[in-house]
Amino acid sequence: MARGADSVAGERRAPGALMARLRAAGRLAAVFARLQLLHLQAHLEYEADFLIGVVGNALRLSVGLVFVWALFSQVPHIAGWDLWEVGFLYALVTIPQGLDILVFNGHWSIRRLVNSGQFDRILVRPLPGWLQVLAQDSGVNGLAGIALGAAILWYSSAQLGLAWDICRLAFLVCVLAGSTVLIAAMTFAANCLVFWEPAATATLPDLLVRTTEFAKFPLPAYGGVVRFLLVSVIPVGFISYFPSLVLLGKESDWLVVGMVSPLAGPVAAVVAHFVWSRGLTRYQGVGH
Amino acid sequence: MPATHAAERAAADVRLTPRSGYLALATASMQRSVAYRNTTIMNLVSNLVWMVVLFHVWQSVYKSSPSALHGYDWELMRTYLLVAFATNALLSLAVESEMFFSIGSGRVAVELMRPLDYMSARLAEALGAAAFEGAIAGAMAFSLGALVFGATPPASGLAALLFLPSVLLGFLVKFLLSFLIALLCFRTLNTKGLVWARAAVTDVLSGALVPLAFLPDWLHALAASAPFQAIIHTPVSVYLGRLEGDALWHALGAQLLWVAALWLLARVLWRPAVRVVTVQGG
Repeated sequence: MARGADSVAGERRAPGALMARLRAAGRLAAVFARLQLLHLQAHLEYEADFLIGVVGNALRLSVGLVFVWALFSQVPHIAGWDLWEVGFLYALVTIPQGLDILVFNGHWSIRRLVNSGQFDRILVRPLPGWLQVLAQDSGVNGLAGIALGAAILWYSSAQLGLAWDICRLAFLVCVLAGSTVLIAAMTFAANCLVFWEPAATATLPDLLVRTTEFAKFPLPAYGGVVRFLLVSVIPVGFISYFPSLVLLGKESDWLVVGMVSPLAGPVAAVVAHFVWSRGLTRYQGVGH
Repeated sequence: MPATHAAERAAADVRLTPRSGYLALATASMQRSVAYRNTTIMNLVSNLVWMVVLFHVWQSVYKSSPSALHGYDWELMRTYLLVAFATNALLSLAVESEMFFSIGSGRVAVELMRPLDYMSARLAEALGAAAFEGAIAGAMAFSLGALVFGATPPASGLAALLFLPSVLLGFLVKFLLSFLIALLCFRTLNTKGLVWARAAVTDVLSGALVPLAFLPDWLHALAASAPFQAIIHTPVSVYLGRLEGDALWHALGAQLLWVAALWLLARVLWRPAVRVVTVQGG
């Protein structure tokens, strides 16, 4: 989470001050957790809506699976990856996406808050603005992604005969956590564009988030330019492809990149925080 | 709201503005699309992103396999992707969400007070927006097809002639299906979930995701007997010349029948649905 980057990146101080910062960060996390749980509770009150949300999301994710099935019914390999390996990739994208929706769904509220003039309330409260924004909502729909992704992950790894020892399991947890932070950071930064483009109907954030769809297939499937973009500009390659090189035990020159992929999350979080700060300096209020 | 003003101006200034309320709504909707053209373009580019993914993945598949899969060679498949993309741009998610949201937010109560039939009014708005969306999507698809994709033109003169009417019929089917699902919005707040569900089912069964021939047998059978294929599969098949002679007219007739059947269903279900107007907004 970004708060980790926040509390560690800073000037050198006495250990006592560091402990104080960690305690403050812990308090922020507790507040955040409580707010999100409240949102979840509120959503669960409307049972029919909850079911529709979960089913709708599950259907949407299943569409991708149908696509993968249709592809592999024609050929045994795509860019050297077989059906279950691609399924594994798919799961490595779907689970973090679901976690992001479940934990951090507040990104999409920035536009609404800024355009309706409610953003000033956020700024005067004694909590970091970005934390409040993230705590605006919790998306129950995310549960569908997590459940479906976990099921695919389990099934694919069974089909591939992967051996899950402690090391691999621990790395998987790191990868999932890192990817969740990465996706959250990308979505958050994309939504911060509203500070530069306040028009209520601009859909650039949607577009940027759509690019995570690329992560559902192995990078070698894409041409050179696209592949370069997916690693450097919009780093979706770190969500699934590079980590799976390590998890699936594949031979590749990029294994090292795979090992450090979870770190892409905190790095992206720092960048997102920077975008947020720059956006705030541009914010002038919409009048009230 | 532009729609109200358009209707009022239509009544007051008969010389210059359309008399018909529906035409006024359609014009206003098109004007709104033009005014917010960045949104339209961004939506199209967003769908384009997914098409780029499809393009690359299929390219990989065709590189390592025999030349024709289910009767589609690489050139046909490229064209299919492009034409399906353009056709799918009509009645975009944005327009549809607008309709769903108007029910979810309670604005429908205001709409119901107007002397216009609710469904026809929404259809007029959808057509107005689609005129603009279609023009932009068509231009995008054409330039991409000619410059980058190497797509093929319509298979024959007849195909070219019948393509647009087929698209129009498909559009009507899409609208009616969407409207039927929107009726559910009278009973639930989670319009986003409904949109997702509708989009998912439509994407698979209409041929927007993959040509129907590629679906697993049971899904293919389901698609063949469902209205969704009229939205993408039929128009694109007309364009590619995969429907000829009798099959062509049968398919067009089927589209017409689905439009009639769905329209009837919508009219029947409308009364009971609207009786449950719980205004959720304020």
